[in-house]
Amino acid sequence: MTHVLAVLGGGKADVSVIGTAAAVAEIARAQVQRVSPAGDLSAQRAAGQVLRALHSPGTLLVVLAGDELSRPIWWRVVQRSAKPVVLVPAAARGRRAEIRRVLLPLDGTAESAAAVAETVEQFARAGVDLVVLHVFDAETVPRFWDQAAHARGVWEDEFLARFCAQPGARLELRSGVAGEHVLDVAQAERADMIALGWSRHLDPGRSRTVRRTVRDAVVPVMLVPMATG
Amino acid sequence: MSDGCGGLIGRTAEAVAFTWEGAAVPGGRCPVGPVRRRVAALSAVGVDVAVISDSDVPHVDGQLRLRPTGPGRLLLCVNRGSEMFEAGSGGLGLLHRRAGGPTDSSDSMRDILSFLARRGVWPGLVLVVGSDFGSAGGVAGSDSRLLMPEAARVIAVSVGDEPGGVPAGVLHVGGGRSAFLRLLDEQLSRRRRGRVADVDEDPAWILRETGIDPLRHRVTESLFTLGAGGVATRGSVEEAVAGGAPVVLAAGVYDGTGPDQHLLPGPQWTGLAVEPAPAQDVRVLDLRSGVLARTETGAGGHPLRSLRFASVTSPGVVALRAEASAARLRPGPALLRPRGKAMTSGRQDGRYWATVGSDRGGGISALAVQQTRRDGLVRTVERVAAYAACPWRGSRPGQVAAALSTAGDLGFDRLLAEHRAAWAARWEAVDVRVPDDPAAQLALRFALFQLWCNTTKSRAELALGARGLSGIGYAGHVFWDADVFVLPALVSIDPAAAAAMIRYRLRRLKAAQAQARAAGWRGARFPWESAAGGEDVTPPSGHLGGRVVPILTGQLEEHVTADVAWAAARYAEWTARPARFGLPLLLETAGYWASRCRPDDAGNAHIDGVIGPDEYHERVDDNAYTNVMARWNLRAAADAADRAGLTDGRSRRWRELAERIVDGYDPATGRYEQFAGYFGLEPLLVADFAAPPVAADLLLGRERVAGSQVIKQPDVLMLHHLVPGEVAAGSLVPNLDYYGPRTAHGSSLSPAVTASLLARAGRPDEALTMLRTALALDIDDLSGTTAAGLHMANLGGVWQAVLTGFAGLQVRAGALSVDPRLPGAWGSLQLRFRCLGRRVRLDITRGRIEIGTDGPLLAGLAGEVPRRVAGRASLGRPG
Repeated sequence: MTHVLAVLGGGKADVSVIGTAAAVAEIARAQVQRVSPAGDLSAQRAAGQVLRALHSPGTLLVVLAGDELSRPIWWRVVQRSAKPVVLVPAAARGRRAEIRRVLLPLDGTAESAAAVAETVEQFARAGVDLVVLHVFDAETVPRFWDQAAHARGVWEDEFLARFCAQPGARLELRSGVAGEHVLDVAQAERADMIALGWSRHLDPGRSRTVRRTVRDAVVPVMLVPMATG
Repeated sequence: MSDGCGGLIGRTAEAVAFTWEGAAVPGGRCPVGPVRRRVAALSAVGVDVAVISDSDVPHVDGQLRLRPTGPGRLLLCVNRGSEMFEAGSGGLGLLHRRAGGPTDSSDSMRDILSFLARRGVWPGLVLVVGSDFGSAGGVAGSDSRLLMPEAARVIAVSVGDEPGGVPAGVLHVGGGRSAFLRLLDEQLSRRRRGRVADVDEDPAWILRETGIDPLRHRVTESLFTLGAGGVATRGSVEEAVAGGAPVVLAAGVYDGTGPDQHLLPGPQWTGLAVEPAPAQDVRVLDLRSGVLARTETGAGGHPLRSLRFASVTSPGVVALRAEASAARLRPGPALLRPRGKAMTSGRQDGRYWATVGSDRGGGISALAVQQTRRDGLVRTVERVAAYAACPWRGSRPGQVAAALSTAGDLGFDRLLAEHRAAWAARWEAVDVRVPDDPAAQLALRFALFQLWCNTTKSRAELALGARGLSGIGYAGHVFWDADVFVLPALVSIDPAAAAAMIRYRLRRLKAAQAQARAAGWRGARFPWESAAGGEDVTPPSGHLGGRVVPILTGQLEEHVTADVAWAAARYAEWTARPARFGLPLLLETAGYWASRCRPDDAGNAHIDGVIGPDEYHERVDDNAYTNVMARWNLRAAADAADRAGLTDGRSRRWRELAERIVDGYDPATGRYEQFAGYFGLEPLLVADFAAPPVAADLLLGRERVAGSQVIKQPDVLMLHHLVPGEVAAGSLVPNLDYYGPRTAHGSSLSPAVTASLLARAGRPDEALTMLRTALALDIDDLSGTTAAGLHMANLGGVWQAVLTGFAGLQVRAGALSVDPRLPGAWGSLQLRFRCLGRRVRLDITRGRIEIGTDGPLLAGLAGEVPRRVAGRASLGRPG
């Protein structure tokens, strides 16, 4: 039996954490396992407890509150976990916990696509609507865009074929800074979750999209560590 | 080396060369009958055989006593390499004799390889059997002479004792004459059992893809497209794979209407059931022979192997052989339904037939036969299919039946042999050699190969879409790419195909006239995007990244009309064909510009509200490219009208108007203003925000780019490329200096033309850097869209860059001029091409330029009076 870990802190966030964990567990055909680190533990030890539970072979991922209050814990978990971590922001409280549509920001590298591939497949199998977001910035902008009447079709077909070959997946393209578009597109598309591959690199200038998304999202954010991280 | 089917070498050779005294009749004491029977049998199944002997011809011929009727040829290479005879049904004929100087068996080998090369049989397909390759007592074996450098990659086998071992690359099987006979038997058996042929993996001629990379899968499908006679098949693997996009397309056969019009997918013929599917493979596109080969790697037992081709000698006929362990390989139906389209199909008299019809009344029909055989545990599948396609008629059973019958009479092996020979003949006439730059040479050959794959039968018209027949991208719509980028290349490769492209436009002249009338003008206005009927099929909207944008090219990118006329003139110029072939195009397009120009009060003429080749700026007035091309069009048409004896006064009016068209040229700076007001835009350079090539409009946004001087691709500079006589003398460099840093190269058309311009400006090293980008565009998938098909304009562009850019070829008034600019990395450049009805060879080095022609030709260095040359001649030293 596989599990989705729900980390409860005894606060207001617990309801949304449990709800999100249940929704994810349904997609993953797993059961929810609750973990409640003792309240008197330091953030470091609480995170350690979560990571140990997460390390268990039957545990698929962990769901925990992603609010500012819990930051000392979840930030440690996010940095050290080799398994996906779902952060439920404070703003998501009160939302329905169903996951019918997921936004997948992909940067067009094999690494980020590979990171979320298994998760994406599970979403697709469960009939979740997949919306892929790719943002053209100085590093990812195509070299050529021949005829605007045709270019998008051929570019999009190949991008999806390479990085998200799931039936029904559709692509949203934007230009600019990725972090600026993820939240807008999530909102415009009424996404119930944002799933991001992430490198676990925290050097200055890295993981800006992840940081910004986690900070400002109003829906749960799934961070899927890249293998190279 | 054995493949487990009882063979000694496990490979299929197309020719066998052996030593008479060493391998066949050692010591002269063995009966010749067994050799004679096998040689006769090999010849009968199409294998060429060469006997190498130190003796004279009466001795060898007297022993062998064989006059095979073919199709395999029998060569007797005798007298220690001094003579080569052919023995055939017509008797014994001398092919070659070396006079003077010592000769040895290496000369025989050279003669054999040279003979075979003309038949498209390259060293890697030649089995060489001897008995004395190894050294003994420090003395090299006598047969080691057969392995001179030109014989690299031959399948060398020794049946001798070889006490000192054999050199690297030689397979020692020993066993003397009996092993020799078994080697011949193995080749006979492999032929008869339909084993898959080999390819000669000469690195100068092959594209090799190792492994199964899902990110490259669809890219290689495009790269490995094979086509002939107007029908092409993407290089998809035989088994169904996730993400694969196999398709068969036919030139000019469209489905749908209006902007949704797209190339119709035909029945698929390459599908096989292979279970389990290969996990790893090596795929080799042999440009020299026009075949695509595949070998499964990492699998034990009997790996999947396949070889396919689109017959050049029987256009429309395609053939495939595959083999694998019988438990894994099943042929299934020979013709499969294309994705997303209905197909009627059936089986009759052992043949598979299928038709896919278009809703425009046309269709693609196919008829196929297949045969399965066993060779021990190996199952072989042989499939031959014939295609017929028509834009306006559906099923064509008679045509495909006749083609298939002809192909069937020949048989797979002979069909392949003729196909190889035809490709050898193509490369004999058209080729490029850059000894110092093998990567560029290979990529250029790839461009030539794929341009050939998109040609069609000589009398037909050729609708050549932006991605040709290598993919469904851009819906197969025909743009100015065809006229300005592909045609100038094809006219030097396959003039008949270039003529077919002109014919495509000629047959749509009425539609172009109707389009002009509908817009309130006279003459003919050709559409920005064209498909079956010749009406404009440009979609009304598109996407700039994620943003929906109106598409105005169909309304405003009018220069295509002059481009069509230019193509007709270029064809006439390069072929020396009478200009009347394309005359209606020149006259009617000139008529369009005559009505389209707006006179002002000062007597000047303007063209308002257009889009130039730089599509970042829309609805501009007096675009220099459009105006100067219109001016050229008027003048060229006036000249043509005079030559045709048209005395209605048109030519005078056109010339007068041409004089009044403004072109934005400023003599003080030597620059042309790209359009009225361009110099007043934000002076943004590409280096300020990105490294080119870059789709600047995606990065900066449409409005920002439109308000800046950043341009997508050469616009003013296209004039220096296409009509250098229409621009001010000496204006190339100032315009290159000005527009170069402003060019994002965000169009795939841009790098190749820029390479050509840089070379002409005397900057060949910069040109080579740009050329490398163009050469990598599809092979390295720089656009991320090669999966949807190859960029045909770029393929034509790189060939133009070499011909007109680096070699500096121009044809004017029936004479060829040469003005090379070689980059520092290239010590020499050798070109073969067609021009003025001749086959021309140019050998360009830093010290001299030599020309070779197959008939009289006016040629000379640029700036000199051309002179009549025939055969080989020196044109002098590069300037």
